[in-house]
Amino acid sequence: MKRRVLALVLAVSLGTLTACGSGGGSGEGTAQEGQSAEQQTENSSGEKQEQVELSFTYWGGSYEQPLMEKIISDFEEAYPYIKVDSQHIPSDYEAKMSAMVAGQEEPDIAYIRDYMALDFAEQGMLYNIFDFIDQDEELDREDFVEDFFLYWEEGKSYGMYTAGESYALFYNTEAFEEAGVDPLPTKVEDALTWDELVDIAQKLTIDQNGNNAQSPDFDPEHIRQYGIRFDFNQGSYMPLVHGNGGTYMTEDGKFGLAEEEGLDVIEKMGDLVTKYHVAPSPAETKSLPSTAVSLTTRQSAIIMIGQWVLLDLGESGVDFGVGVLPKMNGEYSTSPGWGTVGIFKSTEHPEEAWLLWKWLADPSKAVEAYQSGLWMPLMTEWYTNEDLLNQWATGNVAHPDGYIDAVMEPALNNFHRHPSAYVKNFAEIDALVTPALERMYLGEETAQEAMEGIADQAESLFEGLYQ
Amino acid sequence: MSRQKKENIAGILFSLPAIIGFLAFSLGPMIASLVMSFTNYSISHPTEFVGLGNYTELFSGQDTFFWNSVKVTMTFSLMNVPVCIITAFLVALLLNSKKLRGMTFLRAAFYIPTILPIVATAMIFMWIMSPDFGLLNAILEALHLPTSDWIYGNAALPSLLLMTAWTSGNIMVVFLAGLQGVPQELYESIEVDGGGAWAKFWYCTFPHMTPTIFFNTVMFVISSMQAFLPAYIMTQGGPNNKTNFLVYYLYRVAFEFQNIGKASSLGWVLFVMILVVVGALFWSSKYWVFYSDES
Repeated sequence: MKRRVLALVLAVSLGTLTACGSGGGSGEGTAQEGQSAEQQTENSSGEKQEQVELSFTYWGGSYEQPLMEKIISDFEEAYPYIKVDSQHIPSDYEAKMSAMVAGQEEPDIAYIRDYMALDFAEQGMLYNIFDFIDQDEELDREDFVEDFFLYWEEGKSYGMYTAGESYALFYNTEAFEEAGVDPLPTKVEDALTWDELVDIAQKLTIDQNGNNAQSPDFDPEHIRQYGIRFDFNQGSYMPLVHGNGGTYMTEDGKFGLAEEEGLDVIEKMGDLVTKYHVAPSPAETKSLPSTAVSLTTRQSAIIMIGQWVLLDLGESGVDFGVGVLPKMNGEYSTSPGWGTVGIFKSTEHPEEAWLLWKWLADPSKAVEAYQSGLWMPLMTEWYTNEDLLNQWATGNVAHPDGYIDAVMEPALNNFHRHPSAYVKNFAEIDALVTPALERMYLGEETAQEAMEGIADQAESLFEGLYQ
Repeated sequence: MSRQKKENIAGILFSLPAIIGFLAFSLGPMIASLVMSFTNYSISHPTEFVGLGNYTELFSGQDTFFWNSVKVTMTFSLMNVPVCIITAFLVALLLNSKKLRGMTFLRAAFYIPTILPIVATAMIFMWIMSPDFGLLNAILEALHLPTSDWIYGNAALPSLLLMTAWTSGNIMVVFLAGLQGVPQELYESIEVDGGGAWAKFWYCTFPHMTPTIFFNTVMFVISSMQAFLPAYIMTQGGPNNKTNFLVYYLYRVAFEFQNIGKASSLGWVLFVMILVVVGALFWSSKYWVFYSDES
């Protein structure tokens, strides 16, 4: 009996450890030994040059990967002595990045979520990108759109956004025509009021029997086409909260989503799901294909998302239009994504990593990534010089009429970064917000109960803002 | 060298790979994680000893999610263990019946789900339980019964049982093997004494199966308390943290919040929890487990 007990204790401990170890194991193997191949090659001028291997990781969808691989192979062609060991990590990127860093196997240069990069940079793990720009003979800080730099301290930037991005509304033209709804306004000054948006969304929400959400016979249990769809993260609510004069965390550590301006937006978005039944709930969203696909298949008539969706919409061939976000009580606001390209200080090849960084930031090296709608340029010239602008923002399927007014101009003039870029401890605070929003969308709590219920905890996790 | 000594050396040499493996990959990491659980080790910050800080944070309720995770994990185990053990036992009884036609096919059919990668199974169940286009709701609607949001709504935790029961073929196989070991002559004696099917089950099958039931229960309690993949693949711990299992929470603390120290302390809390539950099972076993070599 004793022996059996002992055997069991061992079995239990083994089991527990396997479970604990599995998380780390998944990511650690992915980091590559970047600097093993030290060969001599000849460059174009005949000098002997050391072969350098750079490791680079990035995220992105299935259309994005081949685009990125093409950009990298062009880079390798231009710099034959640099070999880029690139890794596409399509899901769970943050956990894998953590595992790589924990195992001291971080790549030389990588896509990093802004809230993680912020922490890494503060701990001295990332280069100040201005150090490179200031030394570079070809470039100046002024060549880039200033708002797109991300800072951890005054004058110290860990990088720029992976690309320019901007939140807006995108809609299926056919669905609008069938419902007899006018195209969405593309100019900020003509933006819809919230009530107008609700009215349009009701007209565009159609049940299985063909009734819209304003019909007395409307069946909210069997919806064929939702009027509007949005994600349940900061991406969709924060541009509206900012546009309502609110914020995520105030400077003195108050939880902004429980304050009047923030709560108003959260409540309105909750109503779209639980009161008007014009937007899918988190549970219903799980049954739908990706946001872009649901627009092309007309399961959603309008989607509220970042402009990177243009890539998928352009590829799908659907007839779509763009519009500005609705007008709230404050100044119009749009936001980017929440990722950066950072260079780790642990790299043995900072010069080469900088060359790759520069390459990724230069639209002339990959104009198809901009034409296809995936990215907006980081460099000012590509917005101000009409010839360059026309190379990407007009005359292609991914950029319909009104794009410049509805998507591009706000990114330059009404830009407001997401809280993940400046709220310390964002990941832990957001881990409170997400389930609270789920309680609201499940109808278990009102917006006020959900947000005020977590306010104290959120405020206790608050560690300050970076500005 | 005496023969005895030679045999001892050979024995040790043969078991050395397992011993080294245990020391290097189990005991070593265990000790490391125990030490880490007393630090604030995070991947980017300098490490300091915090004593019992991580544990007090967990138990004092300062950590918002810990007690909920304990509740979720225990509730899931309490539901999962009986449901899967009973299902697997009943299926094994059925598949052991001599009157059953197509037995080989059925045995294979019930076992196949355990061979499938859990990720594939999870993806299929996500579709089956999809609120709008899923198979389950389609059937319920056809029968004019109320539908459910399954894993995406309030019933997330019980819904996961559908999948775990479906993949309990491993336990079923162990039961099947146990059933084959029940002495046939005992059934014959019961028949001679005029006993029916129920008497055969209650006085012969069940007592002989208690060691197997005990073994399966212990193993399954351990794996249920370590549930991770359903949350990781299907629900991401949601909705509203209803499926935020301890191991999944540990993973989030380590790799989302980058707090390896606290994650280690969570691992140790879980270890002790499992030890206590399994210890209690062992203690209870003397009252209900019957070994045929005992009088």
